Amino acid sequence: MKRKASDNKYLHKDFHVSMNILLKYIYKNFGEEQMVQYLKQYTKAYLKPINHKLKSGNLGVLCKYFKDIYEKEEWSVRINCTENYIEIEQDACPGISHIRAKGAEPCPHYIETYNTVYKTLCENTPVVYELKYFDEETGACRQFFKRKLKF
Amino acid sequence: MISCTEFIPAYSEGFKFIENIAGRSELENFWSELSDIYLKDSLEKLMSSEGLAGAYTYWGHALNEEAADFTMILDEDKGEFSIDLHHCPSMGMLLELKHMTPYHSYCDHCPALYKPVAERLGYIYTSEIDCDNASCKITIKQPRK
Repeated sequence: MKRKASDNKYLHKDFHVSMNILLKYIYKNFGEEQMVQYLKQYTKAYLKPINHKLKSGNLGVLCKYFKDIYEKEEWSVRINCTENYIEIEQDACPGISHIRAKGAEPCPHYIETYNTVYKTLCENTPVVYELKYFDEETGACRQFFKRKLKF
Repeated sequence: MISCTEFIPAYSEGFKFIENIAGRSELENFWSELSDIYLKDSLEKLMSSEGLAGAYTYWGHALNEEAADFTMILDEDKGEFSIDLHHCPSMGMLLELKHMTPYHSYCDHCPALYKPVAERLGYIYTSEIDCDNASCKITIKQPRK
């Protein structure tokens, strides 16, 4: 079998399972606080360019980022982008869905892959993140990114 | 959410994190646990029932989904399976991300995951890794009788 990178789409859903094993390992051996610290480290390293662009308060960068990752993930989601806020609503989380489909349990505090990651993403920017609702069983959730009000 | 398309940088940062708080041996413990959990019902099951053809099935699926650039050969007469990974999508992605530094020995996790599975089933696993160029060659052979 011979393949070039361009022959296939990059979408390996089993990476959700590996990610869950990594989170569980950190949680089991070092505790919840260290798991949160790890997620902060990851966000500060990988999402640094988005955090940097977000300092201007322009939510367009976030809107593009989310539309792009959900499209690549081939996952149904409702994303409403406005000048002052972004609302993201999903009926299930692609990670939790795949982990459960493979017969595994999501790591305790899996919610932190949303809550910690996106709060960290907004650090030192005029944008705040709010996770309005999160269903631990399915990962159905409603998220808000909004610009801080100026007085 | 950490999308499956963002897993590789998350993985690399995870290696750094574990090594930083508990040392390299702890990271190797993690790789060993990951190998046991993740590969038991996939690669190990396939190779147990199908032999080297199972390895072909496993990597045929994984490398296509990861959009890798590779040549994979199964020579059952010779008792040999090989992957020539011309461009590893994972290490390739990390090398392209100029704003972050990959874990210093990122490629070490591959033999740590796969070699124990092959050896448990009686095969000989060898690899030549050129991490700086995101390429490697893996060979799994049946032992000579």
